[in-house]
Amino acid sequence: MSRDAFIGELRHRMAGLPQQTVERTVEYYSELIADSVEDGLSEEEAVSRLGSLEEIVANVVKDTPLTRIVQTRVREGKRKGISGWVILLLVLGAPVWLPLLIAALAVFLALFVALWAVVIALWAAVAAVILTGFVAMVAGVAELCRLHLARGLVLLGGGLMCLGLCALAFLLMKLITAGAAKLCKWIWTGIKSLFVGKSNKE
Amino acid sequence: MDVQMKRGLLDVCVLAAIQSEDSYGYRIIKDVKPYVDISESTLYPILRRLEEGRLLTVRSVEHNGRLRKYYHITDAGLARIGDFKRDWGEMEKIYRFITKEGKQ
Repeated sequence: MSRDAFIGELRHRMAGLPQQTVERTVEYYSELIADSVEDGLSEEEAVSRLGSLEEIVANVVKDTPLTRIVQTRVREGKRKGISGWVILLLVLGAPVWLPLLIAALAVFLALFVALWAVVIALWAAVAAVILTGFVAMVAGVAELCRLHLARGLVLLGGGLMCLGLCALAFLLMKLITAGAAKLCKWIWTGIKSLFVGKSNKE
Repeated sequence: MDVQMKRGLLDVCVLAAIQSEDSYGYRIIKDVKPYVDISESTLYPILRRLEEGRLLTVRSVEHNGRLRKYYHITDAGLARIGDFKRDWGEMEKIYRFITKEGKQ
């Protein structure tokens, strides 16, 4: 890809991001291409070294707060001049789209809460088993002291098994929690991407 | 390497690359690359973050009929490198502890 094609595509994909962010990003990458060329690389080589456009834009989106993106979108709409009809339709349609929007947000929130509720519940289960293990061991020792050998050994063994399982479950839970956090982050970036890079295609 | 750890290390590496004299994007990548895996698209958010945290300042300089951005380290940036060196002493102590434990 040539420098101009790359910069054009970059601008196109960043449409919807704040103007300042777009300019800074374009400046940064054009400077890198120019410096690479000065260092003896061909323009194509210089562009291909920058990595994929998806990755570049995803990195920029990740660093831009959603509020800024929406602000830019709204301002852009104003500048382009939303026609009176559209505003009229938006107002008249409010009884329809407003509840739908609220419902969509509620669904997202519910999914988010449900996801973390499951994670918390699993942690609670692990904690409960740890507690059971300790109690069983204490009871086991007590039984042994009272010379109830069989009962004491069963309790002691059961308690040790609980604690052993928990050690494994703890590692698994750490993975699950990290996974859930990653999923939330990924969905959030996805939501932000919805607002970016479409205006030229419309 | 752990993502958080690498992120912190990269910040310090970029600061170190502009420590002795001001530098620009292409040269920073060239200087840091032999030591840590850094790409054009990872340097960008780092520079922004460091600038927002006032660890470096940016100025545009005319070069061959175009503008090139030079990054200049601030006192806070130098202090960050100092922090890292101090932390490293502690890390080494911990490392010796860990490896000693491993042998037994």
